[in-house]
Amino acid sequence: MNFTEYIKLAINALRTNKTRSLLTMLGIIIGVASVILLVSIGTGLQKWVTEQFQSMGANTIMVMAGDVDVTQGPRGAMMSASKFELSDVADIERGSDAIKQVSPMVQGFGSFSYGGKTSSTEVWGLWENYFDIAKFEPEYGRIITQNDVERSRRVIVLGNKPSKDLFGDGANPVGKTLTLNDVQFEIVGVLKSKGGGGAMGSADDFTAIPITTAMRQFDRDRPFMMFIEAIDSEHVAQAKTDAEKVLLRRLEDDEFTVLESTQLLETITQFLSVITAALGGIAGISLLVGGIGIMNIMLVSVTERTREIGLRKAVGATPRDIMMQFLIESVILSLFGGAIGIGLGSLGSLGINQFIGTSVTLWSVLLAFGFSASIGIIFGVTPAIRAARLDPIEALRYE
Amino acid sequence: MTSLLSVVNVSKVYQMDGVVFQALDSVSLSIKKGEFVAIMGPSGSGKSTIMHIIGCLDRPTSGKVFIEGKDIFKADDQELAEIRNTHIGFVFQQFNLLRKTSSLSNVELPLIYAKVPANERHERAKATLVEVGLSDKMSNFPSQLSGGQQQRVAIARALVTNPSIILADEPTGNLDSKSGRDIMTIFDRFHKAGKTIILVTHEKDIAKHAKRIISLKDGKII
Repeated sequence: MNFTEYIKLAINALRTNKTRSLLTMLGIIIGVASVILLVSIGTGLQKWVTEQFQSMGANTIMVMAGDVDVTQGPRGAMMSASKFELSDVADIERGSDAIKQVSPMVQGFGSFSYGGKTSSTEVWGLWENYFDIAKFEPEYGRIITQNDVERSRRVIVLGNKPSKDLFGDGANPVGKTLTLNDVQFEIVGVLKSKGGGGAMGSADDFTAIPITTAMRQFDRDRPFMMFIEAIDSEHVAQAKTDAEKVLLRRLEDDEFTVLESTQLLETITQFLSVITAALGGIAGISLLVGGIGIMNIMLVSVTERTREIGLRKAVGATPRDIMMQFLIESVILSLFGGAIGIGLGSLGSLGINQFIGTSVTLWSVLLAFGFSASIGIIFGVTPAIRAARLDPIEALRYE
Repeated sequence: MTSLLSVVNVSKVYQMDGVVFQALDSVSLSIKKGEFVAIMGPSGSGKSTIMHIIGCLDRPTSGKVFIEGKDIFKADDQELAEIRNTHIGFVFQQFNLLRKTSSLSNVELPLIYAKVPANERHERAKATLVEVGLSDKMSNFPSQLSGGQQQRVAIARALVTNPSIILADEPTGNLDSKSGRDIMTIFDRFHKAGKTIILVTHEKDIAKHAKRIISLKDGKII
């Protein structure tokens, strides 16, 4: 008997018992659908967290002056005198394929006043490329340009928070002039809020001016720190090592510290992977229960069809024919159930996607499909072997 | 002419719950091609056992069985199934048709295991159903047929592979006398057409159709 005959035979047998076939499949359908759904939620969460980090600069490395203890955060560096030169920026950029760009920063503190209102916050002297590295975009106006830097123009870009403090919520202050430490600056832009805390504390609570202007304003001749952007998240570690190598040519190893923000991201994604795997595992148990359901029904079916098996043997079915007949029946049950489960799971995932980002991954689909096929085989083998071994005389006499 | 079937010194011993039961005791018989033989005997005489052994459904404890000169019990279970498929056509007392399966598909069943292509299968099954007078019942399910009609489907199923031997085990046992006579007429007809038929029965009237009667008692031929 060839393979197509086996399949025809199995489909016929399943169709004769439609309700039972459907109920048996239900176990597999629910199992597979929940595996797909839960894994897609887990994967979606992972993706979301990674994206959040990337939007805050997950690919970013900070180079601080002095020997900074990571546990104290970036602000631990405040006390050390910087030994950086502006030339380090180009050296680091040149020194590694893993680095996309480097941006120096000079930090100061400013008191602002406008129309009788005053406020104070950090003032960062920056290159134009910082906004690209840190993924800042203007809500109003523009960001610092290369032209601003080259000409040391007295222009200022406000973070979302100082803009609110001075001008109120939703106001557009672009074009107005404010006073920063008694010097007049033209407001050219306001940054979009990022909310929460970025790598440098509250991401919205700072103002930015061209680095050249800042060096003059705060009387600094060295960058206070540098931001490095790796080409992608996989190259952060290499970028860090390379940057250290370049700086060590000129500086002692306690005169600078290179910090990366991916360590936290890794911890979180690792945690989420465990959660995803655990969810998948729990759903997997329901798949197992579905498999046992198949075995149960197949055993019942073998018993019910004892006479049929005896007859088939009498007219020339080999033990292998009988075994394949039942095995293929259970495999079709589980594969068909698996396919429906994948469809339902993906549909459910699409539904949940309205609330949380989910993503159905190829591996979870393949896993679910492979798993349901194996379940069909594993749980179908025992009933099939039992059927194949039936004594034809006993089977023909069976009432 | 050499015999189609030879049973040589066949014994069968059953052991159930420690009790030894000798179903067959050194039975030898030989059947030629084209013979119509009835095996008779009361229940427990061993007639079912000899039929199962001839039909390759059961192995003897000792002795040999040759079909067309071939020592059949040298074969393993896989080969035995093939021998059943090509050499034996069974007709049972209980008909043993597959329910929810048309007459045509029931008759096709042995041909599926004989690996006959689908088209040829249909043709041969149809032709055989015509031979047993069921040309108008091909797509009917067994539940839509009378007992006599069901048994005729079963006979068609036994004949469709053109087997060496047709083994009929109490083929009229579940039928009323009219249907029983119809069935025996069919057997007579196939005997005249040259088929070898072995009939197992305990009814004298039925056995009379056969040209030779082998009587068994307590596992021995008398």
